[in-house]
Amino acid sequence: MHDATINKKVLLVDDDVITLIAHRLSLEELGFEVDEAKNGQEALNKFTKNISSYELILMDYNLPDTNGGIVAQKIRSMVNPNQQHPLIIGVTAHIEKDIIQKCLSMGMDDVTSKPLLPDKIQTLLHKIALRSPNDQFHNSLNKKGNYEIHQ
Amino acid sequence: MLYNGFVNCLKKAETKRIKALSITNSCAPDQIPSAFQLLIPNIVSLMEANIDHLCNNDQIVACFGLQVTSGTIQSNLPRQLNRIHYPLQPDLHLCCILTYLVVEHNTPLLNLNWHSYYSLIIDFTSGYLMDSNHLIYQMLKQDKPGHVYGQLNQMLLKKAWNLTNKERQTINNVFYSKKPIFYLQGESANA
Repeated sequence: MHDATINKKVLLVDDDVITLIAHRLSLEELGFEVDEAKNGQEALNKFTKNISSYELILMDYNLPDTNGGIVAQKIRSMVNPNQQHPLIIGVTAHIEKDIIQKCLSMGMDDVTSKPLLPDKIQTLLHKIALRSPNDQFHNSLNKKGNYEIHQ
Repeated sequence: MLYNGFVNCLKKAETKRIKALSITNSCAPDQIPSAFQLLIPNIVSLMEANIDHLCNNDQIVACFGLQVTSGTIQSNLPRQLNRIHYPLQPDLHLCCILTYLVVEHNTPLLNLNWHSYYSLIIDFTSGYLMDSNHLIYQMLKQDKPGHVYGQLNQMLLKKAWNLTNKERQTINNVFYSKKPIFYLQGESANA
């Protein structure tokens, strides 16, 4: 589908193995390189080791050791304010406004609901492309005609 | 479905070896239509029938979570049976993950952490109860076939879907109705 050399790295944070498999498949098909973490601590460890390499972090809200908002907050605090932080998207089964608001106020860039269907993945790609409109990823998506950017 | 509603239904259906455990913030059943609470006693019965698969003789199962799965089965069954949960992707089944802890008999069901939980999958479209491996097998048509625990009572399942569809229809009618739902004094519906 997309250029396999795009090489954008994603960190998936979710305790549920089915979620990890489903999201991994969708994202790999789009050319992403995927890392996984099953709880907040594992996510922070992986992020610390690869601090500048993740383009996108998909974060579950309900984690066994903490909540995704706290992890997002810690990740944001680790990134140099002069640098662009990875796009942190909460992926949750919650639909309550206060949880979504909480996620946003704690440092997530956006929140989307589970399941992460193809149309929502397209929206995520849109957000990534808007952040870096001149890079190879954006050009590749536009060239192939299956993605349209509205700036 | 509200989390408290789910836990209360579980509590009413508890057996000697299948218990309800309330861990708020462990899951969000929000996207599951409330009518499916009807099936919780049936789910517990199926779990009880498969208790040897779920835990050892000296253990019990403490259920605490239910929410939609992120990966799900695709087939024409939702259209065939009028069980469409995702209108934008009508081929997707409504699959939910039920999470539980396995604890020793007589363990107080208080302040338990859920780091090491187990899960089973309920496909509310087909009615099958299965383990995660079977869902993955159905999703990817590869790997190990996993295990199917049984099938929900079809009459109850049909009832839950009918109630859900009826509720959705009512919401749609109200939402897309061109006429106002409430009329000011002196106005009439035929005006």
